[in-house]
Amino acid sequence: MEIFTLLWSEIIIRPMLNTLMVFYILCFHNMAVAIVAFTVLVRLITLPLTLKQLKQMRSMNALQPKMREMQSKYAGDRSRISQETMKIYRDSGVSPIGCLGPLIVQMPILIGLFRVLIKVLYSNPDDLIGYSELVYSWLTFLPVHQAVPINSQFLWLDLGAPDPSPIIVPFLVAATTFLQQKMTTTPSADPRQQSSQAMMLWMIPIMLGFFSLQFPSGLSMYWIMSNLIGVGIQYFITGWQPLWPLFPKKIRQETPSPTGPKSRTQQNNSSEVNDGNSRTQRPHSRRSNRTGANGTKRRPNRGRSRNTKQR
Amino acid sequence: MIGCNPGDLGKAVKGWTPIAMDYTTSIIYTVDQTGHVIAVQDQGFEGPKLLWSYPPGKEDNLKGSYQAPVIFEDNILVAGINGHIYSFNKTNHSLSDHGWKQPQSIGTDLPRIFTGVAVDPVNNKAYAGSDDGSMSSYELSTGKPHNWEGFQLDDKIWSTPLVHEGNLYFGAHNNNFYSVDGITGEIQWTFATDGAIPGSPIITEDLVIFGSMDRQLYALEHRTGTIRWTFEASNWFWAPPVVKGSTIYAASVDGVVHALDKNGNELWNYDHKEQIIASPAVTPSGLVIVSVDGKLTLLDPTPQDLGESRIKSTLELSEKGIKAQILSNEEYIYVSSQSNNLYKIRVSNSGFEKNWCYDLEEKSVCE
Repeated sequence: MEIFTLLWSEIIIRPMLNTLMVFYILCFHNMAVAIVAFTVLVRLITLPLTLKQLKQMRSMNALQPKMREMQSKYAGDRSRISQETMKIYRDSGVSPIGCLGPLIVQMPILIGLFRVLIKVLYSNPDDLIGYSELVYSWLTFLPVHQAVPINSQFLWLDLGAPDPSPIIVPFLVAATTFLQQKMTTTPSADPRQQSSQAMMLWMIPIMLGFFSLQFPSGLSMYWIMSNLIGVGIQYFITGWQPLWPLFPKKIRQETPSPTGPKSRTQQNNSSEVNDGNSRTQRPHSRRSNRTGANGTKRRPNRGRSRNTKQR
Repeated sequence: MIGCNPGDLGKAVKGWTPIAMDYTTSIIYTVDQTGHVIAVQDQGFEGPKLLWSYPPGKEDNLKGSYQAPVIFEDNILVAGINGHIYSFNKTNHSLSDHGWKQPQSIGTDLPRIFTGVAVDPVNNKAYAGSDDGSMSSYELSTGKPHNWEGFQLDDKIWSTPLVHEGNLYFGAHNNNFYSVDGITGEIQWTFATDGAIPGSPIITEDLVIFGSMDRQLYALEHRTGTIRWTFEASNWFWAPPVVKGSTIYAASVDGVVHALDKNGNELWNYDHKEQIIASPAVTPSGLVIVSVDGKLTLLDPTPQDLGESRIKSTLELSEKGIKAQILSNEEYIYVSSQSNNLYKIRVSNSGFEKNWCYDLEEKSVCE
């Protein structure tokens, strides 16, 4: 167990703490600016992974028509659908877990930053003593040892403590997480996955917003910045299209109306010709295409209004 | 983010299990990691014996303490992390029978106290600093808050004040060292350093000596604050230095022990290579140092350069978190840990010999 503690300290905590402190000194002893600079650095380091993730998502988008076709072909045979899904992914060189790369990298950074902020923005003697152990002794060209006590004040926030308001920071955490998710989520062709995606779109921001009620606001600041940068990167690749409509309506299983402006078949056809790579593509539009999967139809103008838009 | 435990934010604050000893009765007083004040008597060959523990129930838990209790006449004074100062009657641990308890400030949201209590018997005063930058004064006999006009700094005070000739000497996290009139609360002088000052000072002859997180040990004239000398180490100074004869022993946080003469010139140093927070202890057999990881080392204090032969003996306690001051009583030392263990160790020229270990939480002798 000690080896893991050592590795965790040497690979994650110490490099992060020292980098953050170097930024703190270079940013004129402003911890908020240092956190922003640190976030930019982390996002730059993980940029290749992020781009790979986006590439994977686009590839998966392009596979959606093929997937729907396959799902309708093997409707009712879940095991065959799974096999064929994997086959399609394999043949196309797409890894469904490839999208998780940046997320997996982010997790130790987040947990590490939590620990680092506690050490750096200490509130008791033990944390401060822990800080001295983690500073690189060879880092003599910058006065990292003498940089404490840290100026942890930024606007109304003590970056080492939760937001005293306590609404603004949790709201920003939740809102930016929602935006980031909305921009990057690959809509699934699988109805079950669609509903879980819709749930996650709301649950994760709410959960993180709730967590940030208790976490140091410096950590929340990292998360907010990281989300905004993520949204920015996504914008350069897909534009704002994935964001709209901002609040997709809940999927409802309803019988189709004969008076709808556009039939389901028309919609399906229009989505099937979309290769998923277009900047004007609206990924969530595919969520409505469940005919092949469960044989039900819905009124196009109600409940899934965005699916009825003409392209 | 999910992997983080929000409870960690306040989890570490349990203090250092600091100890003080009444040498006439061989009773050791401490505040353990569960926030209880405990009195344990060293019965010699019969080992340790628990005398009392406070609080008896869950109410009024001190939440730990960072600095040693102060024994003054019939009372034990303790500063709790919970923001209260306690003065116990040391025979019956009563707070009502010649004892008292006072909050550090008015209101329910009390600042945490990381300093110890300082007493001034001449002026019948007790003092303690707070995490919110306040320094409070109380009547030593009754606990009545003293009528200071609210001495308040802009940063934390973790340095236990030292009382000398009616003045208080202490450092703060705003990088300043203060001399304050104990009666009026007026600042006599301040001295600015380049780092926070979490440790306590000592006074020897006309000098007040303290370490700072700017890696300097400062010696100032205690009446004027005029700087006499400084000594630079490779890391912060936290533990108060110790003076024996004409030598000053000071350990920096990175584990280097420096022996200085009274002009601040280094006589020798020893690199323990492990973090040291507790001050060295002077024993008849030599200088004892203990690192946070529980490694005790007995050093030969001879001024000449002895190299590796300076080490007379070592002892590894299977402990982590030894940060509280070591007590020395003739040939014995007492060491307490954040694992809630209290050790009695015999120190002789032949080395260390563990006498007993007492588990403060289990209230029983440990291995």
